[in-house]
Amino acid sequence: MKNGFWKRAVAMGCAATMTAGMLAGCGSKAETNENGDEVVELVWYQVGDAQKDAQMVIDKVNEYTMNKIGVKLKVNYVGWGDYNQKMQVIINTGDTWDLCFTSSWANDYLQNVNKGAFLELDELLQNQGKEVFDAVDPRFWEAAKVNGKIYGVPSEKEIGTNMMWVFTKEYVDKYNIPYQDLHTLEDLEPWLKLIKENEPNVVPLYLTRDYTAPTYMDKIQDPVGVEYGDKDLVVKNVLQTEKMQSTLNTMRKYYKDGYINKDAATTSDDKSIKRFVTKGDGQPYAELIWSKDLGYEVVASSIMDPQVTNGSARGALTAINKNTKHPEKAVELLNLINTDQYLRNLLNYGIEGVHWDKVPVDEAELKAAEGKPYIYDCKVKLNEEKRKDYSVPYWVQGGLFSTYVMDNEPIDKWATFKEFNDTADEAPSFGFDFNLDPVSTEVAGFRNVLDEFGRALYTGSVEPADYLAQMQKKLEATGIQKVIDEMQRQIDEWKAAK
Amino acid sequence: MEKKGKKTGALARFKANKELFLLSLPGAVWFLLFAYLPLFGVLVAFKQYRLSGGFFESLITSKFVGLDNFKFLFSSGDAWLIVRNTILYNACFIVLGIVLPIIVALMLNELRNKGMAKIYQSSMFLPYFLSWVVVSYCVYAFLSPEKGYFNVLLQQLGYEGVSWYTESAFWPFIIIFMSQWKGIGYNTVVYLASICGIDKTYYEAAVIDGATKWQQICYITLPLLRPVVLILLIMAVGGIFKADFGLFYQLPRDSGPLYPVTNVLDTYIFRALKTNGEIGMSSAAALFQSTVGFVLILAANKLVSKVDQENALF
Repeated sequence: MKNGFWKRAVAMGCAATMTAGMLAGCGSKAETNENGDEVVELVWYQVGDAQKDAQMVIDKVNEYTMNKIGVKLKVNYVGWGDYNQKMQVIINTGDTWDLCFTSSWANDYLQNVNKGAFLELDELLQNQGKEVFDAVDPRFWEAAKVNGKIYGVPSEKEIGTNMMWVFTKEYVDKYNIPYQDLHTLEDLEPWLKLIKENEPNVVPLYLTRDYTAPTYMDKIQDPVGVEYGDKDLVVKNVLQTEKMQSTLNTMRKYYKDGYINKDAATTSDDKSIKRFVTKGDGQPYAELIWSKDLGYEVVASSIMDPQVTNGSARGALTAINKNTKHPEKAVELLNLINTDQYLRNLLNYGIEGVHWDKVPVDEAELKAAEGKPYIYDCKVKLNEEKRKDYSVPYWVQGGLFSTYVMDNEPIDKWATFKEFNDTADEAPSFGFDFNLDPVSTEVAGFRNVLDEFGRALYTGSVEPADYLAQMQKKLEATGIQKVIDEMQRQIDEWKAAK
Repeated sequence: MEKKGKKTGALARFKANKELFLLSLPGAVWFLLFAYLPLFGVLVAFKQYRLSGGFFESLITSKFVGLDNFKFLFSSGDAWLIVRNTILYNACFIVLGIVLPIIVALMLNELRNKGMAKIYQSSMFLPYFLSWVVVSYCVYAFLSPEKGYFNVLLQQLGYEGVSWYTESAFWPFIIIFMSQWKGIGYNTVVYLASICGIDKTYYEAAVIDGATKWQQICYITLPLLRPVVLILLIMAVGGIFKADFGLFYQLPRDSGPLYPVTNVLDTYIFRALKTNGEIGMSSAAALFQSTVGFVLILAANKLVSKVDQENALF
């Protein structure tokens, strides 16, 4: 009787497994397009919240790409907060994916390359990806190189970090403030004082927990890096540089004078709080986006000249899985998206006539922009009702320069971006990648120390004289000197090789 | 001959208790699949995990680095502080988590109005279902330096407001208070259920002998609760190296100046590894916590069995 039971149990188990196998088998039947070519499905992980109309748009995209290159897309959207962790799991466990969004600030590009997660693209870019390779600014490709090899297709956008002061226009107009001439932290002082005295309900300098004081350094491995303009490439701890120390003292002074909100070190942005100036990471015409976000007009001025670093030039890339079954098709797809106007705008704004409409460009504006690159003969007007059903971060899917601009933006927006990119200075450390394997234990300790002291120091909430010393002591205990030495060794080697 | 006899014995036992074995099957299979089978993944903790194909392939081909992955746990100057915080807070939670719920359970048990008792019980249970993120915002409404209830109240009374999120002195109390506030309902129900399970005839006999309520509690209820308390205690001791991440990260809003009293193993590990993403190191941390927990459970059980053989777990 016992044997009978086990036999039956085993038989049932086998049957269940086989059924499951058969069901799975049915799904993988090859699909073909109009030309009779086999269609492959590529799984693409993107950062951003899932959209209500996403499937509708992707169906439309597939209709086009299936016939054009025999590729069908399956896009998985992963929310902003989850993206890092979820991608680590997906990549580390060898889950099925073909393409994914990667960058210096989410789903870290360098880390993944070092782990061996991404496919080397150099050869494919010379064949299937020739057009996109030629179209995108070479400096983006330079930045995408790790140990001389390219592992991701960059989305062409602004290449440099551009830290800005963002002023509320209302007060700029009211007190006639020459905002365009205000650059350094110290420049702000008289105006902060003026606002403090005359506008009791306005926070003169509004800061949140994410704020970092103006930093004149490429922090290669926070807090260790190389200062902008330092051609000798001396590796330093940013908190030990004179510039940062004087900045922190100024922040402290502003905090004590009551220019900064008291909860700066712990609060996240509360849009209902009236502020005169705050700091933003911008790009050309960023004030238009911020104004829309905040619901009132703002103007901006750059804190320093934009700098190109690995971090800034790796703002958005799409990488291909090292184990993908269809490397050629994946590159072909990225090539098409980045060079095909119809497809790019479809992915960007959704379906024309549903999510957006083409509107004509003012003749005079078009005339004035004649001869500039990336000028299109129409702008985009988003459908007020449907836009919320398909609103994706634009730079996740591809370069921006082949998208149409919106009706409230100047027609030469991308030409201005291009000019901004061409004039941006390269930081001396641009192109250098730090291999942290020899010091990964030490680096793991940094974050705790930085989070403990960083926010309070940057916002001026604590006395730098005491806290900097405490922080330094802890960083030393964690082994910062070993990291500095190791980075110096690697960067010297890199310089010699260059 | 003897061996064979033993075997038939096992078989006979199986036959006799067939239904019971069958009942335990789902649980046993679950443990086998999700607890014992993945144990080989512990290997990750000793590897510098690099990708080369699927998970298994990568695991096998990755470089063996011995105990290197464990080093970061002790490399920072704060290792002692973090271990101290973790153990002291948890010890405190264990003690309060036994004492307070038993007191509340005894009180609820004595209520005549059973309808009201249900209402009290449910409203105490409610916070248990809230996530720490939600709770942290409720607490922020009280403690926010500019507009929080406490500071507004203090200012109206003519005192200076307190910068709650930078003053570490208050936080041990806030954290202990909030953790008990959130957990008390759940624990109360556990003890209340045990109290309800005590045979009513004991109390009847005691009443006939003229025992007061207080004597009934001291000489009947508490001694009979002892097995449950001991089992829960042994289990809790095993978790003494694991801290409630939400409590220590969300509630103080990850505020730097509070780290000396809020940094525990789990938050330290989270912050350490969010920068470099080495899964070997995170596995090492988890393995370390589990191993210490395992040893502590064994030790606690040993201790209990010395004092009270009957109530030891195994």
